[in-house]
Amino acid sequence: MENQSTLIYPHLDLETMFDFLEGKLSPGRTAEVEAHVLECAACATALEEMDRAGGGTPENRQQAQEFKAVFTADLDKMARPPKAGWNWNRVIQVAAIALLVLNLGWAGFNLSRSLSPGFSPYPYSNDRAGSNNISEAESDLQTALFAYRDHHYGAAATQLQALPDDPATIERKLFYLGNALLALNRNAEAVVPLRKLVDNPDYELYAQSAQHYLGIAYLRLSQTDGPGE
Amino acid sequence: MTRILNFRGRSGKLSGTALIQKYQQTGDQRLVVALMEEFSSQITGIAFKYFKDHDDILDFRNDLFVKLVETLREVDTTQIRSAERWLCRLIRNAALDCLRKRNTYRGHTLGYATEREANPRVDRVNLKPLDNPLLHRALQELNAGERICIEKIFFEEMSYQDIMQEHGFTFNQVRGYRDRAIRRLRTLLKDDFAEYFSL
Repeated sequence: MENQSTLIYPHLDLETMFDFLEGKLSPGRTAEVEAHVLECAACATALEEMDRAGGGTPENRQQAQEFKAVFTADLDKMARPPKAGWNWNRVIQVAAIALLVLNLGWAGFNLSRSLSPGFSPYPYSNDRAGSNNISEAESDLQTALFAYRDHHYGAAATQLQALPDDPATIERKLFYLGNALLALNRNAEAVVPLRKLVDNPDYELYAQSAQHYLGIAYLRLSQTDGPGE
Repeated sequence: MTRILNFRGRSGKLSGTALIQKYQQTGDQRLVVALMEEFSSQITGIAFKYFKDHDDILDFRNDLFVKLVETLREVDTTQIRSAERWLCRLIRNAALDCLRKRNTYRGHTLGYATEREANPRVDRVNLKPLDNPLLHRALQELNAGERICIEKIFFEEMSYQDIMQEHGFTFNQVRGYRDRAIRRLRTLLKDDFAEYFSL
């Protein structure tokens, strides 16, 4: 196709087409135009339409020239060049959609979970309404318990010992401190917090478990015949 | 071989395949403008009979640009046998759409353009020759070339180029046969001529 197409170029210009219709071209040039329009549908169609519209008259020639001048004037200003770099509109659209999906997902998650008793989506809070007002003692206790759950009993014990005796956390502090010391085989030290839990009638939550671990501590102490560190 | 659009520019800078593919890949509308510039003489030649003033042409130019931008983006170039023929059809359709729109919205007469070109093929014959004995007899009075051209142009709606390629005529021969045939038919049919040919 490439080779065939090159035979019909360049296309006829408007002047040549009107000269052809008016019979003003030389025989050689006329033969060239005839050969061209036999192959080129664009020029043949243009010539046919011009012929049907009255052929080559000075009035038609002038009007067509004016129209072509109007048609081509500032033609290049019609084109909008392609956008370079990021298409920010697209980026913003995608980001907005992602945000919407995340929000909907989070809302749906909360809705479904909120139907389950005792659940709060917010850490360290027993408030089902979702309050974030966590006391400092509670926060410190949870930090210490992270170490305990990760089996870092030494760090857990140190952090628990440093905690103030806050009424809201005292029971858990004593229980996990006793357990951590027991895990470290510091049995004599473990007895102290566990004993406090067992002896205080206000501490009901962990009293029974504390009694069990206290028994273990005493058993180890009796076997080693002294504080086994 | 795969048929392709070939819009090689006069300067030889534009390769058709590269132009279309690049436009379809990049959406760079400057390539469409390059196409319109390359065919500006042909576009003007096709469209000038439809319009009568500069506003018409500017409207048509905008419509054609939009049509090309939309069409070239999605056209399957492998399905087009002749790029020029395809382009001419698109140009003519854009001109007629523009003409109808202006005629509808402006609501005034546009001179010869509306009277002659309100329909795509305004100079087609109203009746088939075999439907009417008078027309049939008149056609028999024409010589072979004249009869072929009249029948192909008016009854089969073929283009001059199709007739040239099918019968080996030159462009000027087709014009000559057509014009002579119309003159003879006008004489033969007298008052009935207008009934058959809305020229």
